[in-house]
Amino acid sequence: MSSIEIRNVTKSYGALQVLHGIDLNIVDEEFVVLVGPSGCGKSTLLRMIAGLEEISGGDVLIDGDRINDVSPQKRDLAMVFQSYALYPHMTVAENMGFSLSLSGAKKPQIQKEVGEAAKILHLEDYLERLPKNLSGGQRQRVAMGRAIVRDPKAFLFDEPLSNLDAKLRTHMRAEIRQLHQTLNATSVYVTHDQIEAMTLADRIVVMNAGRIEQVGSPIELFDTPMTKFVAGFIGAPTMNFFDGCVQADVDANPYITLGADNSHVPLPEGMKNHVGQQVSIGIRPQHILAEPAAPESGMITGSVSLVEQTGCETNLLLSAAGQQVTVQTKERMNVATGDWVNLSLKADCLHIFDQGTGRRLN
Amino acid sequence: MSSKAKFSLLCWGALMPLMVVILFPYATMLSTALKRKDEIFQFEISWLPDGLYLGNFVELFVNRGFGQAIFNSIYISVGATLVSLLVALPAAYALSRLKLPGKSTFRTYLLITQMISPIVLIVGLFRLFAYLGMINDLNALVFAHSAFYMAFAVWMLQSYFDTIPKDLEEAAWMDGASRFASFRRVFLPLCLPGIAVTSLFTFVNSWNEYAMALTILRDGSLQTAPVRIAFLTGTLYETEWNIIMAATLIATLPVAIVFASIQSYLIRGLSLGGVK
Ligand SMILES: Nc1ncnc2c1ncn2[C@@H]1O[C@H](COP(=O)(O)OP(=O)(O)OP(=O)(O)O)[C@@H](O)[C@H]1O
Ligand SMILES: [Mg+2]
Repeated sequence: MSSIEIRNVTKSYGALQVLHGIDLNIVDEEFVVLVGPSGCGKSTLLRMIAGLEEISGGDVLIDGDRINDVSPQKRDLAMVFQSYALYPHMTVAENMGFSLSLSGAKKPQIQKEVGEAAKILHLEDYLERLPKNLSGGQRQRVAMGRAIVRDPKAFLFDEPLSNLDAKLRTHMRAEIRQLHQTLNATSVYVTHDQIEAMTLADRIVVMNAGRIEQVGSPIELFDTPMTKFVAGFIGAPTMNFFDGCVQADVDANPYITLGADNSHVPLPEGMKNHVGQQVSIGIRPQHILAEPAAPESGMITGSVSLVEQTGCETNLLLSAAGQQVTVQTKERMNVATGDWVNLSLKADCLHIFDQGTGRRLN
Repeated sequence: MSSKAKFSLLCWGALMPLMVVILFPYATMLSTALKRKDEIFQFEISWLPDGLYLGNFVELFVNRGFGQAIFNSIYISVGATLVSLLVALPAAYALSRLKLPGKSTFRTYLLITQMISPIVLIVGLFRLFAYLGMINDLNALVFAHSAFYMAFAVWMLQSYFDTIPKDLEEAAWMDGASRFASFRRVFLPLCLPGIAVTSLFTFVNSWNEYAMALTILRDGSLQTAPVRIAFLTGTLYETEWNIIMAATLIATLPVAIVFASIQSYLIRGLSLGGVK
């Protein structure tokens, strides 16, 4: 297995620049997930690693060797496509053994390797079928199988699960993670689904508009998002943001007033230096406490506009502080549309961002 | 009767007028080809011949050299099909898959060449082949036909190639296949239906082509089937319909055989579905 190094890589289509200087180091045996909204350039970056897309600027290195000008055939990487791209005229076994037969392996050896891969992926019963006679999940597994029969330097995945239904996706997600634990293969995985990113990755790379916003472990990204974009992208339901101006009280302690309410939300000590600054306060739906109560001065109050029961959690959609607020709680709350609740924000769970730059301040 | 059966009966009923138009000439051909000469000119026309008389065919092959004409036609049509495929396949692939400057201009140019009728060019072509010393050479017609039908072949193949997902080839490259290997082992098998249709078209066009064959092949022994059939009508004092019909019947056979043998590829093309 191998390491992949991406140095100041850019990509332009004519005058349109879609990647602006990407730097990334992927170490041996690491599972890295590229995540970001549609059109941010994830697939482009992956395809540049694969060699399917020309590199406009910068370098890509595998095991320290610059491979910009090496053709995809010679990079020794395996790729799983979103469309699976199974060869329609070949059986499952032929699909999986194609790379081996190209490299001149003998029939018995191909059969053995394909058999082993099929066993790992539970495909033994389907080896003689054509792709058109397989279900979506089985096709997906064949695509994986085609990648694992060889022993490539790294695996590249481009949204391999996006064509599956929700349940199968969860199942395959777990299988991919288990497969990684068995094979320990360096993997780069593209998705726009943040849950997939969180559950699969050793390290997540959040991309936005052709730039890397933040790189970190799932927990790092969840607990300390460095930009407002990452904060809004990671975590479900989406983080709530309130805009306001940092103020100081008589004791010079920083606080903020949210919306038109005369609420008083104390801010961490460190925000002293930012008094007078326009900020966005982010707080996750899980970190807001909602209590049914009559509106009370000094508290943030909201009226319930929607109650969602998932069985496990209760999601409340509120209008509070002049905007929509989502609250999630593990408790069974007995509230109905139109009820009033008091909200309190967990002080140590506030994420404070500069309104202009979107950078984290605390 | 189920509604489905009723529906198909209705469809067949609606198709009947067309069927008559298509089948009537065949019926005439078949019935006339199996009659004796004197049977044809009887006052009362009967559809069924008195007996299965095969003398017309014997006469055609033994005394009129029609076998040679069929052979010439097959040689030219197969040759033209192969040569035009040989050039059109890589050309269409390049147009479909590679970044080329002036691609759309080239495509338009191909289309424009199709607007010129070959008849207009015949004098020029004759002089060209005369200069090359290829008058009375079957290969001259192979080249002329393949040149004329190539533009369409490129056009048609490119349209078909465009429908083959690029992912499949990219997957093959990732699997380690060279451009040529992925073309041969992944791309080409998927394109067989498109190639089949294109070759069928070229073959039929070349088979039926008359003007060029008449001009360039002067020698009687080099005549193609359509030219020979035309000569059967014009050169004698009487028109021997029984012989002519036997000849046309035979001339339709190769096309029918080619079509039947290619048919399975046409159907298979519709049922492939490897990409999601
Ligand atoms: N051939 C091309 N010519 C011009 N622009 C292109 C081309 N291919 C991609 N782009 C642009 O590059 C940007 C990045 O595309 P890319 O496919 O990498 O997005 P993505 O992050 O994978 O999105 P998605 O999640 O929708 O797959 C997009 O804005 C897209 O419009
Ligand atoms: Mg993509």
